[in-house]
Amino acid sequence: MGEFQDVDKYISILKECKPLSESEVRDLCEKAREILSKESNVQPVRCPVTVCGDIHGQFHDLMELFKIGGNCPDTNYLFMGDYVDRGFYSVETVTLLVALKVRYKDRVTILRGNHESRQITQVYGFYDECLRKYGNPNVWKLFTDLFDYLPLTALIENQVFCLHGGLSPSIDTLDHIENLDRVQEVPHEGAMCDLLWSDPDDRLGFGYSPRGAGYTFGKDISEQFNHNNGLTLVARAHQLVMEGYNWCHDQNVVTIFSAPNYCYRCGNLAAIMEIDEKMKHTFLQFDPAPRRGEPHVTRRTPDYFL
Amino acid sequence: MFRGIYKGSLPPIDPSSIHHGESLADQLQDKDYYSVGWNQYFDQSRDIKLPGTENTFRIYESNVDVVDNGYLFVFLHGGGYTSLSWSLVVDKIKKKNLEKKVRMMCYDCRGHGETKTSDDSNLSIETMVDDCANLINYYQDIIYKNEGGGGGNDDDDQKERLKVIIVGHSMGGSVVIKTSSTNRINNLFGLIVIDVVEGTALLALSSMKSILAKRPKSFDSVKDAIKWSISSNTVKNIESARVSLYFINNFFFFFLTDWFSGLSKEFLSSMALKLLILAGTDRLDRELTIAQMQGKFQLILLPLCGHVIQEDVPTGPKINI
Repeated sequence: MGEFQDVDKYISILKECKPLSESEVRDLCEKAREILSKESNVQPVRCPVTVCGDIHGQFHDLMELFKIGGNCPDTNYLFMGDYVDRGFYSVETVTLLVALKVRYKDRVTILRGNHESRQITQVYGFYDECLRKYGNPNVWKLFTDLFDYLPLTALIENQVFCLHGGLSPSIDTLDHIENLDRVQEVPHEGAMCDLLWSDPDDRLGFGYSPRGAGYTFGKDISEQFNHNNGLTLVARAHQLVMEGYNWCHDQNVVTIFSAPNYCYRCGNLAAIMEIDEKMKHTFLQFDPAPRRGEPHVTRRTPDYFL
Repeated sequence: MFRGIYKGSLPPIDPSSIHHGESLADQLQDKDYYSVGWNQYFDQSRDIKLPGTENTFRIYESNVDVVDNGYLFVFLHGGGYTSLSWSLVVDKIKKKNLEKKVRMMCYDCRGHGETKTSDDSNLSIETMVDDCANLINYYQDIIYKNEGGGGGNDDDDQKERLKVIIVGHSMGGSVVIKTSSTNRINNLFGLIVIDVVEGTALLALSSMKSILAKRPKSFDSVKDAIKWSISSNTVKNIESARVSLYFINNFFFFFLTDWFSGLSKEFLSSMALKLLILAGTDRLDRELTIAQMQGKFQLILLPLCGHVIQEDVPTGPKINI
């Protein structure tokens, strides 16, 4: 197993919530790019597998997730994006997930979320965190370059379609997605943008998203998409749901969110979805992990009215 | 009341016209403190007296040829500021070649700038909301009745009335949210709120008093006052400091809780399109963090700004129509 000696070392460092050195990150990202570039835009995944939503740098909660869902590689995992930004440990979180991908490439699938982008990470925290922890933006550059290679969607046993955001008016079939050139920054519009930004909605059809990117899509759209592609379910993340998971569109769509007490202030549960050998699904909910040694959250009061 | 020391006639300078590198304060010469007038940025200014009241509002306008089939942006300044805090924003929008599509109007709120009302000291939220709704509706009437805008006469159905987008900063943002939730503004299309979040605003109140205590009670000259606001980091774009300097007296506190209570809920419940512009995510309170993460409104972050976002980086927010 000499092949994985380095990566095993990385993983043991990261599991203690310690960042790797810049050169180790560079080595890891090179290995990861090799693997990810061979994956498909609709990456096939076998069951059993545990499907997870947004993590957002909440490292200790990711550890809690592994406690609840089982360790890698005992459990197969599919993460649906948004590993970085907002939480305090985006660097450790994304490095660990990439390291697990490199170490257990057939047991771990990591998709791209709308936060795996150069533009978003510059305003929502990952860029600043890299600067703070490494003193320069090189590690941010390494990761955001790697993000371009992350697959956009996954397909579990040809039945459950997984992605970060949702459906797009420019996509009717999974073949359309296969044809996208994904190795680029997340664009501001178009199919690739929609897959990472869209949300299900009570209104039928496609609507403009209040987010300013992607679309809202109705039950009719989800039903037709599942029917056209022989799917039973669309599993997606991207939206905070207070119970950690939320069914909508007559069980054609489920939202999974895996960052408990999001941003250390929202008071929500997190959840993951286990899919077993018979394609039966079970949701596991969890609370925030006890915070050992994590800095107490004090928010600087802004200079309002001045 | 809040006339400011600059008599309400001086807009801020565009930061992009200033050389970077050396300290901006060092580059400033005496003439820079006085050299630009509002008419460099706005096409015209007039006073509008609301019928049946003693209230006369000073407004500043641009692209007044736009009377139908487009958008009307109405800007509400923050507490202690005046319309002129929007100068740079208005100027940037003007330069985007939208002169056929976008009309812009800023007004000095009650108790601020050149506006004169029967009771300048009544800054309660109800009064400010009344002023906002009445003025904007009356202003629309003027456009349609006197300026030949669409919808004024029945035989002219081809012309569509201007869609109204109200933009508010801080106190103005609060007025924007509360007014939109009364559904009183005709043709309201969207609201844009800049750096105002209920939870954080109320939190900030307590720290305000100590900061105000440190502020000099008076200044010997305009220049001294501006230098103080620069050195104390009150306005980060030093250029705009010289004109948007304002005074907040203790009296201001009476109304602060009044302005900000219940805002997040009302913002989220508004049916119009919503855009929130903030200087950082830390400013989102719990309710807005959840709503943002559920995709209920658009959030634009401009992390390098102070509270007066539109002056620090007037080019920052891209307004897409």
